[in-house]
Amino acid sequence: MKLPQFELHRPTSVDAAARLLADLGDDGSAFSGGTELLLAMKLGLIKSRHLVDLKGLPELHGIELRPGGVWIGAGVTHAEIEASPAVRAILAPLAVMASQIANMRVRAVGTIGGNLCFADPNSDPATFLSAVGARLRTWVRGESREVAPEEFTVGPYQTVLEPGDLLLGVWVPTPPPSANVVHLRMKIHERPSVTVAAMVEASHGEVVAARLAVGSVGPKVLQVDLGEELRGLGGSAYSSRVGALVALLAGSIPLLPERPESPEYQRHLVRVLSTRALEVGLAAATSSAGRPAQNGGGEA
Amino acid sequence: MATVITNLPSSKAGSVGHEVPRSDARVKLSGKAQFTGDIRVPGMLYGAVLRSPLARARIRSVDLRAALALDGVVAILTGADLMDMDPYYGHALKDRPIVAIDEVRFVGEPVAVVAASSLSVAENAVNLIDVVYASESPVTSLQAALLPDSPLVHTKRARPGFAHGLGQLPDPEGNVCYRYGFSKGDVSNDFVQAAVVVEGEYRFPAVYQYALETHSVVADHRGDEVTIWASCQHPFLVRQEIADLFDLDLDRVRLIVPFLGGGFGSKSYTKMEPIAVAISRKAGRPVRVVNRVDESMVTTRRHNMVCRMRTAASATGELIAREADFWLDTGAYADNGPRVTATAGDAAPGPYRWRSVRVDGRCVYTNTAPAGSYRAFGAIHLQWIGELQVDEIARRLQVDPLEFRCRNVLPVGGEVRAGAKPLDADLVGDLRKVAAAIDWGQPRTEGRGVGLSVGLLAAGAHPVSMATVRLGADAGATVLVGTTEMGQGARTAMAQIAAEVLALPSEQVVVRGTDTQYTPYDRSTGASRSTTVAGKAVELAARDVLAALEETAAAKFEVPLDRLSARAGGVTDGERWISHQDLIRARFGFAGGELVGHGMVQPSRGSGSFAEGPVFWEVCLAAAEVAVDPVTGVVRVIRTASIADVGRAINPQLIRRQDEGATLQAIGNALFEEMRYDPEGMLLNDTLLDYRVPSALDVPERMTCVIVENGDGPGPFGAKGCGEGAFAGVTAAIATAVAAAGVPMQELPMTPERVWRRIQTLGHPDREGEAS
Ligand SMILES: Cc1cc2nc3c(=O)[nH]c(=O)nc-3n(C[C@H](O)[C@H](O)[C@H](O)COP(=O)(O)OP(=O)(O)OC[C@H]3O[C@@H](n4cnc5c(N)ncnc54)[C@H](O)[C@@H]3O)c2cc1C
Repeated sequence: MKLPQFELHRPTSVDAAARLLADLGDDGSAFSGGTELLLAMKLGLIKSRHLVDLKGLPELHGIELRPGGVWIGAGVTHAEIEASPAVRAILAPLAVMASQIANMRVRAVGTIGGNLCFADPNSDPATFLSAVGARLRTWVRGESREVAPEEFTVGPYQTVLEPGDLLLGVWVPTPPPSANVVHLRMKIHERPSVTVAAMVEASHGEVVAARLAVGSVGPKVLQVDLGEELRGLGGSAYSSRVGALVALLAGSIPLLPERPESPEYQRHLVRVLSTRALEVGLAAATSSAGRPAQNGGGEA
Repeated sequence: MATVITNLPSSKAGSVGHEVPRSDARVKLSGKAQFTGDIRVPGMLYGAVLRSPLARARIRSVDLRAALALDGVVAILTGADLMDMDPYYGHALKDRPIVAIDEVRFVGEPVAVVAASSLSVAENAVNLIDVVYASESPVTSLQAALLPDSPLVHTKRARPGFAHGLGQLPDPEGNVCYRYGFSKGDVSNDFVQAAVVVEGEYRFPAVYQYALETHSVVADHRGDEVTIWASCQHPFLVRQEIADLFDLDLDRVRLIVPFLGGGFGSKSYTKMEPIAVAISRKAGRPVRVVNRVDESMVTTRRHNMVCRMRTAASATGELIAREADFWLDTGAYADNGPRVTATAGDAAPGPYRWRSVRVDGRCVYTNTAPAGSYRAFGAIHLQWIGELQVDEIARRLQVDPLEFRCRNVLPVGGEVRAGAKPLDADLVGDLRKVAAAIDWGQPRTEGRGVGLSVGLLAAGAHPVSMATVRLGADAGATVLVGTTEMGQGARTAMAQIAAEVLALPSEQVVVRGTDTQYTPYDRSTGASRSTTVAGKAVELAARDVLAALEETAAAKFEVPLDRLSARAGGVTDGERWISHQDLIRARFGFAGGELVGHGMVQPSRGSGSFAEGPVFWEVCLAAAEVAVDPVTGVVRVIRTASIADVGRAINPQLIRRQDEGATLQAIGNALFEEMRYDPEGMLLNDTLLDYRVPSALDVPERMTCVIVENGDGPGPFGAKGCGEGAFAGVTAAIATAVAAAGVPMQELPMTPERVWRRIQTLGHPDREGEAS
């Protein structure tokens, strides 16, 4: 299980990188932190003989506060997100989520782009970004495009990108002032077994908008807009409606086969974590109305 | 010339009992320590192993042509190369061929070994070997192996290995390769008479020892001799097995053992050495064979087990009878399974005053990777079960579990098992200490549980160890002892023992790795024996040197020998002092030479202590507090306390580190580690991504190690071993704590899902009806 021989290319522009990758086809792979790629190559799962290093592309770096949100380059590491004042300013739970990924070594080199492009179902960012309505910017056949995270992933280890396409970065909109974001995860093995994120916007203790994303159990993140269902609800009416909706969702969400945990238990966790995320989301949104969302995530 | 000093130097040299820093810390932290994988020998080739993809199959044909044609391939070993020898080995049962011959018995069994100029060439060649198998349906579980019409994993009767030490081998019954049991009293009658009976069926999983360093060997076979650098815990036993296997003289087999990157039993006895020697023999050049992690995971593991146990007590709160039947899955080859079975059997009753006991353990072959030693084997398998039943009885009788145990445990000198050494530890004292350390009896938060456990582990293995101490003309000493340094701090402790006797600072005592050509014999590094047995040999060897020093000093000072003692790097008669250096000079009449002392521990020489088995009973006693999340089933270990009943603490810091390491491994074994196989016998979780080991995040808020020094050990200065007891003790204490939180579990590991399911079936955390 040694890393096979490969040739390393170091383009300095997105265009050059994309063209190189398009020419190489299946024989080439984009290479960011390498935390997934190199492991997969050692295991013989990816057989590319050419690696195109994206770390030299300036467009892929940097976290920038812009009107209405924050731009995070695909080449930004989890550790950079975790430590970013810009991220903390508009969406602290994103920084908290990043701080829970993997371990310090992986966070130091592993990138958000690499996480999304590898499309391992056990992903924290994929779930989180779906809940907050983020948009991914891609470079497809020489053109820049925008896609929702839950559409970017097609299935396990599969995205909409073709050889020569790149992920440029992620646009994360600033949540409304009265919204709160909660990210919860249950980690039994090395990667999370269930990830749940909720964004709840409330006014005077009543829901204005709500979105829930459930990941890591199915082939891709399931995102549901619960605004219609929950609008105007608060207190026990909210709780009982959440209970019913979440039970329905947990019972029907598609699951990946051959997991160490049984479907029954996975559905139970989806129900428990989703309920918790939505409950905490409303409570915190209510208590922090008017202030930027500050509530972090948590380990179940 | 020799200086005699009359204002005596202060005697703060005392080394034993001090927290001397690890002598290997600096080289290891700076990356300079040498492990087997770092070794390069001139002309060395790289080995790679072709392993079976099937759990049970006949080998129809092996085609090596494409692989041999590859540039850089020097030799390929298959079963066909072993026809000129008896290719079977195994220290307990000689049941295992060096590489598969005609059939394979588990997924991962070595079928061929390539030696090539580089590792990548060797790996590529492995992929070019074409083997045609005829698959047969495998026996991959205990349940399947025990069916009356189960296929046999081995059809030939196994021969005893060179060190099976288990008496007459019983006739094979189906897939059962070894059976160990005993009984006393009238068990059936006592169960009829009992006021309370608790019984149940319990499961323990297969787990991997997960030493950071995988099994690594460099072997150089030339002519009628072989040199082996190996990551092995027991170099002298490997030497013996290799000599037997390859028909070489013992002194022609040389084992050199550098640092080990952890062992925990995974490197006990012979593992990858025969393969490396065989391919070197064929290639005519030295060959290096270093496992990948997934290969080491099919090289050895801990036995999974099914156990049925029942325990009876009287209405007045006396434990009266226990019965245990258990089946240990030893995989395709016995490895240390028979010994594990016997040790598990000895641990089954637990240290209580039984009127009657019946224990029956079986060691069972299946088509899975072989299982062998892992820290605290046997005790870890049985203790949690027995202790859960003790707790359940205490609960039904409404007696405090601590008081219940104190009333029922064996007293000092009590009979643990007929014919074995009487109990050499104060368990009531230990129980009270561990209870105090965990604030036993204090009110607890909701969802929390506190548990205790007590058990015994037969420790010390066979008490045969020798050591040599050389005191040089510069008064620095070198200890030659066969104990393997595998992270436990053995070299530091050995240095302290010699330093204590010779009144030297321990930094002035050097202990290096084993080279069987120069290092005197030591049976093994395991069974918590090194400080006790090998340490005693070091003490005796140092005393031998001291005797020579004192002889010279007696002549010099013209005083009788009994007036002399070692002090601050020299010898004193209480008034005058002379350095070791000057004594050596005085003895030989010039500025050179050295004093050499020998120490030997053997059963017949011991003061009774080494003559009876076991060398000592290692106390496995601990307490734990856990939090159980009833919604997700997640168990968190909040704090633990363990007893290190060590007789005399040679180095308290090393002892605490032992118990902390064991506590973390116990958390892994109790809560999440488990090797999962598919029905075809393929290991599903052979990477750290899905085989979860404890990490820094699993460390409890508080781990207390209570060191008990009663001076009652047979080792140096009254010491006895430690390091395994906490593993069995903490695992069982976590199980009893989870039960105390309302969820008695009958299967380890207590994964979130299992705990959640159990809560579902109990209906309510306030349980009833489980064991009947
Ligand atoms: C031990 C471990 C634990 C982990 N735990 C977690 C966890 O708890 N939660 C979690 O969410 N994740 C976890 N991960 C996943 C981790 O987040 C990813 O490994 C990391 O983010 C991948 O980034 P990278 O830069 O290393 O990607 P690389 O390995 O460099 O690339 C991964 C894949 O993406 C492609 N790629 C990379 N960048 C681009 C781009 N800009 N455009 C197009 N394709 C691209 C590559 O070609 C490759 O196929 C874990 C990983 C490990 C190894």
